[in-house]
Amino acid sequence: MSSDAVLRMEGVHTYIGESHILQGMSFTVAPGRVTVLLGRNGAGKTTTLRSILGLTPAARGRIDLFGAEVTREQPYRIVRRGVGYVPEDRDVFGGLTVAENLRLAQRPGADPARMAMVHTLFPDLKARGNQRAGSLSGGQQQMVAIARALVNENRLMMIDEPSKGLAPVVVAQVTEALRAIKGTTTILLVEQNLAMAAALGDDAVIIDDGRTVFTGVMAEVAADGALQARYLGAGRRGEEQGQSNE
Amino acid sequence: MSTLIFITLTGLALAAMYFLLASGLSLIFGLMDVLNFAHGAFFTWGAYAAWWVISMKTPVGGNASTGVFLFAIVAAVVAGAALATGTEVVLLRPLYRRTISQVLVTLGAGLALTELTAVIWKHDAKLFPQPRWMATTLTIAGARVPANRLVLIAVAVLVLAVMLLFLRYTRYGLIVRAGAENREMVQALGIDVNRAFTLVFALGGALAGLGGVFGGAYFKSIDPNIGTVNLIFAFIVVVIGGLGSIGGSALAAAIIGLSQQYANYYAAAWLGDFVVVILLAVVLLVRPRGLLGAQR
Amino acid sequence: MTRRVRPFWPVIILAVLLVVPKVGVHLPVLFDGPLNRAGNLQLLAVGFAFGIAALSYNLLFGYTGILSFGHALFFGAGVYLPVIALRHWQWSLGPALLFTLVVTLALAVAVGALALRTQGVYFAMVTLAFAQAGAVVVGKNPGQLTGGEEGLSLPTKNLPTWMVGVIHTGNLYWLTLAALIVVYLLTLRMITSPTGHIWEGIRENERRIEMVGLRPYTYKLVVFVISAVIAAVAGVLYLFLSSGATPASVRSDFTVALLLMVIIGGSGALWGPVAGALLYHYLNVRLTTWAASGTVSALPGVLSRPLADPLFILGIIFVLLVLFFPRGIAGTFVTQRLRASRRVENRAR
Repeated sequence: MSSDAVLRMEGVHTYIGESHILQGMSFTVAPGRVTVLLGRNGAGKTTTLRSILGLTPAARGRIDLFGAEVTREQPYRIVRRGVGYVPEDRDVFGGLTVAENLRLAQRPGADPARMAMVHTLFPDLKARGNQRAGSLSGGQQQMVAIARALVNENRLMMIDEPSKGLAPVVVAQVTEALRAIKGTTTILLVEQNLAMAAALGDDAVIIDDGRTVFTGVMAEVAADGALQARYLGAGRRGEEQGQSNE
Repeated sequence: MSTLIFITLTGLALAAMYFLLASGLSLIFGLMDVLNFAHGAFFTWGAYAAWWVISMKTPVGGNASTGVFLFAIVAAVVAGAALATGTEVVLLRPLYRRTISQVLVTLGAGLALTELTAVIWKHDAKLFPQPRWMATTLTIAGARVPANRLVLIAVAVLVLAVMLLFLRYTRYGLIVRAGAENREMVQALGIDVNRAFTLVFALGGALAGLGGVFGGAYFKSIDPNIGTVNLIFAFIVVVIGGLGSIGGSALAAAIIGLSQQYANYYAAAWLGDFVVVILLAVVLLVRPRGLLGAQR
Repeated sequence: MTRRVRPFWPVIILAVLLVVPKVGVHLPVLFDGPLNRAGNLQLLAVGFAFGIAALSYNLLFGYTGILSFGHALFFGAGVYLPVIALRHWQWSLGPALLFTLVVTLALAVAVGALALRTQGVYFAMVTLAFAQAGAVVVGKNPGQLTGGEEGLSLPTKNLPTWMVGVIHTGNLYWLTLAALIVVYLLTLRMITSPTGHIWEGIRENERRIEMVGLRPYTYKLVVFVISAVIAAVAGVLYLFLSSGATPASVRSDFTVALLLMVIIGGSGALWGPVAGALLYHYLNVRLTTWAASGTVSALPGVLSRPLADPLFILGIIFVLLVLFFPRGIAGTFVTQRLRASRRVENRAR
């Protein structure tokens, strides 16, 4: 619990309409590490990310980002503090080209060297620069979404279920891409694929029914079958993706 | 044959006017999900602002000088843009995310603004003087066509080109295109979408004002209802063309303008408006997203 | 405790309204001359007719969440169809009314079936277009049927004597009031029925209705047709009160007026739209008189002229309402009471 935690959530409650989704979320994200947010479907993982960004504002509680309170700030302001967001379902702009998607994400004052770095990291995207993003495959779109978050110097990357709906081969590629940037920034990763989470994660936070039920290191979760069974319905996720959980 | 040319050019001129109104509406709806019912009022104010400028410097019954006419265009565009910006900032921003309320507030604003022109200038029609060279008729393939029809068509084509370039090659154009697809994601990229809203509204208002000037030249007279009447057709153009598509608006405007004129001439005088409604119904049944609209 | 007292209010108001034609009281600023003067009774009665139209619109918009811009079409049908039958074909009242009902029904089914294939914005546009088409047809006077811009005046030969003439305005007043009460009770019945709950369900979340296995389209069509027929009834009453039909009743401005009425009154409670209608019509008529009066005309031209224009004032009121009182009169009262009770519930948790 250092005061230079990149992100701190305290007692956050969020509603969607009448539904009480987050019921007192509290956890911190330490700098330079990959923190994985785990939990069943509907536990509130995506809502947590959206609350941090202000897309689904928190009703009660407090959210601190890079040491400053951002609880009810406007989304675009929060993002400009240095957050890269890779949403569930990618949300690339289908009508725009790949290059336009990346250019749009570039914030004023962004280092052009980063765009070059992104092109080196994702040569396929560079080649498809003028292709409509909507015509790309799911895996390619995922790369665009990740690349979008990299064109700026972001101190925090929030990535929501990058492996969702992708073939195992593609999931491996995405894992590699994320491994390459791990260490250069802080990552908050939501992922149901336990294998991917274990491969990338340093710390783990498990949420259930909108509340934090476990905070610790990833290794501990990976080793604790009972914990997995209780909160993650473990084994199912790995099998669905065609991978074993070991 | 010459009649056909005449009617076609008249239809295209009408289409040009509809396009000026519809393009702004389409952009506004595409980006903001708002049906701007105040748009007709921007058109009306554009027409009256221009008329006022012209009539101050033009003797009664005379022709306006080209210089004054150009000045009037500027006045109209500024009036439209100013009113639109005011509407967006004062009325729409407080209602952020409440789309139905936004639509209703534009309805009220449109009503009040339109009525204001009647309060200031009375309900009776005012003659709209134009430069002599615009009022003269040219002979094209045997048809005698007033020059202002051609000017109107030229202006609309120019506007279409500029808008397409703007959307394709400028950063704000990029933001508008992306925002029309997914407003939230644009915000999540650190972009203030609200500024884009104001820009699009102002742009729409400017175009409506421009439409008002040329509407006045086309109809030769203006009255407070001029905006409201044409707004309905503009809405139909936007829906048929596809909400959010500039190209669609242009195409649909051409179809509507031409159909109206052909039906009015070759069938019966009141059939033109009827045909437009039928077209709307057909398009909505066969291709609900419009001719060039994106799947929503 | 307030709940027990509430049921009495409607009865009191009703009783007052019933005796108005017999009461010669003077209400200075509000009305010209005694209350039971023909002109004032006419004002109130037209307000009731609009109230019926507003109730019908509220069924569509307030309860089912369907924003239609074509309601003027059906109100106009109620205004024009009887007078066409009475005047051009010399029918008597009964057959003329039946004719109106049948044609309105057919029109509503046709327009509704077509328009309801679309949703939201598109639906609004389609209804707007149809209403506009109707207005154009009426205006262009095909076959001299509609009287064009001048309209048609109501021939009095075939009408029962108790309806005709200024002396009998009181009778028309009672007739309209009775109709309003009937429509009100009918509407109440409908919205508390299972169908009514489905309508509300459609407004809240149409997808959920589909998942329960119902077809929203059918329910929407039903409410559309019912609402159209009630609007036509209002139109018929308006025809008698105005002794003639004018194109203004079919113009899209009227649908905007209906929207205004529902917004002013609020769709929260049933009496909301009725209150909104009365207030709208009253303001529309009285504002011009006020403006001509001493106080307003003494103001500088910049202020006095806009204030003399009812439509301008109404536009401003509309904007202010949407910004600050989106739930209207009924809503602001009702929600406050609801909010208070919810606060008590929450504390108890």
